Amino acid sequence: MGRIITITSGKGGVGKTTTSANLSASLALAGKRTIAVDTDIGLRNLDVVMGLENRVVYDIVNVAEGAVSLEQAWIKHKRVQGLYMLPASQSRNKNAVSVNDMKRIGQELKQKFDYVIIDCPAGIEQGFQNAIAAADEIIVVTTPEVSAVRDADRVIGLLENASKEKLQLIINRLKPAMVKRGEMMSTGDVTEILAISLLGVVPDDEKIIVSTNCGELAIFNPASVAGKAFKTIARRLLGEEVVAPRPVEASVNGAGVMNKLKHFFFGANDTHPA
Amino acid sequence: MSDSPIQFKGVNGDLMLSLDWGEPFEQLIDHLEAQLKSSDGFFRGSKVILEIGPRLLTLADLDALRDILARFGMTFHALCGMGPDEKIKPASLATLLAPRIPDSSRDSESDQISHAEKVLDATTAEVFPTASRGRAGARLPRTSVKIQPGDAHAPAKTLLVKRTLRSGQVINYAGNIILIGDINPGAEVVAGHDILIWGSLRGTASAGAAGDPLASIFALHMAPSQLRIGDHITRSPRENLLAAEGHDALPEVAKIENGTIVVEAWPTNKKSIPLKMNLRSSSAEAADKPSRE
Repeated sequence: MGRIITITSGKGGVGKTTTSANLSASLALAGKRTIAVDTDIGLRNLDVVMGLENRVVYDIVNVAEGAVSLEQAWIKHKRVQGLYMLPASQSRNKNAVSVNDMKRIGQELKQKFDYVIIDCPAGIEQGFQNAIAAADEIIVVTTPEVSAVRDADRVIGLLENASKEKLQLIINRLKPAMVKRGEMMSTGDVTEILAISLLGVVPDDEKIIVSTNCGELAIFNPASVAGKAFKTIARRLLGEEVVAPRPVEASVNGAGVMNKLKHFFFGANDTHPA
Repeated sequence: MSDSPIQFKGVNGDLMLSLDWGEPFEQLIDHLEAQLKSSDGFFRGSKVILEIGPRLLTLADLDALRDILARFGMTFHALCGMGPDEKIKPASLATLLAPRIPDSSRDSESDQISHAEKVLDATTAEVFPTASRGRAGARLPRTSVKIQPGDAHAPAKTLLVKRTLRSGQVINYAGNIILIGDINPGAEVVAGHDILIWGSLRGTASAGAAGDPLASIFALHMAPSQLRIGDHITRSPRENLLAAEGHDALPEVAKIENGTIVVEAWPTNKKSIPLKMNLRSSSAEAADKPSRE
């Protein structure tokens, strides 16, 4: 039996798809049979990030409707042994697949793979509920921004209510220099609010954009710091104890961005008499 | 994952029922009834905290729930949900949760329902036309909880919650609320009387939502987005922020003084203010007023 891990975030654009693609490939490279499932029906892009766009024939909606088998729909990655992808439909909407469809597909994939990585759409509507329905574990991705953290918090609340117990956090796109200057939330700032276990921190990396555009995964680029971080996270998922190099993210005491923000909001032009 | 759409959990001696948020309401009701029937009176006498998740419940839904609970000798104690629920106004919640509900007979129950609807209408209009208004105060039609007039002199009940409220989660309770955990940004806690937070208050807290001007909000770490007491509303006051830095934050209390909400160190090192939370009773109200200055 494999593990089904859903990658979610609430807010869009924080790096769910990049995380899904890189973790899937890292797990496959470690010898685990892995499939990445795109559940962002109507706005699919996991196939693009993984460089499999031109090979999509069938998609998850076809499978849910019983028109084709899973084996027909999934795409085998040419370069990475043991890596597969199940694409989302680009033309249908998110209601084309139900929670029960997802549970069924999840169970079937679990029999055939060591890891099933589900890329969740942004938001907390039907697509989100589909994506978490079958999950054994959840990885919440956030960036160190107040809005992303707020949405992640909301999502964690929903997940707790849905009795999902294994929740882990990835903080993506951290800029150590900004944290040092007190201009960005530190890892500590984020984990203090979200209070779930931290799986890893991925530094901001411009090379990711290049990777995404070419459909070349960051983990294959030796110069990519983000790629390195994703590999580390994959090793942690596999149960290895990986100590991160001295946390770049250490908070500068008292100069955290939260305090600056507070002063900005409440300090400057507060006409309140209190 | 459990296959039952309703989870039973013991919480500090009360019974918490968590409703699966994917399940249609009618089926939940049937399920609840079946489950209680098969429990053979095991839950009789227990106070029920209902966790409804993000679902929207109508007043009729709540009535149906309450009827079932009453039939099995259980009482509706508190409601815990998420998201701005447009269908239930806090006013109706307060009426539903008011302490007198449990022991009322069938007859008076129908009165309550019509009363609840009346209050529901009232919330859309101005509920507190005569309340005084501080300079920074603003009217609070939305979170105002209307409680039965008779409740003012009864000792307020207290709900103990051991969890962190995350963004979008709301707790409404007609009495006092003690929360052990944090209130994160975007979360809200609304109490008819006092609120004590053993943790960080980063979201919104409304105390004295029934119009109680003596209500206070206590927190170990006070960094709220908004504080509301009675019909007063304020953002985080300035002096608070200096103390809120890092983990060195000191406990603070917010209350109404001279028509505005003020926040000060808690406990104060001046003559100690009696903890209203413990002392509130029929005669304590007047003596409660802090007599500094």
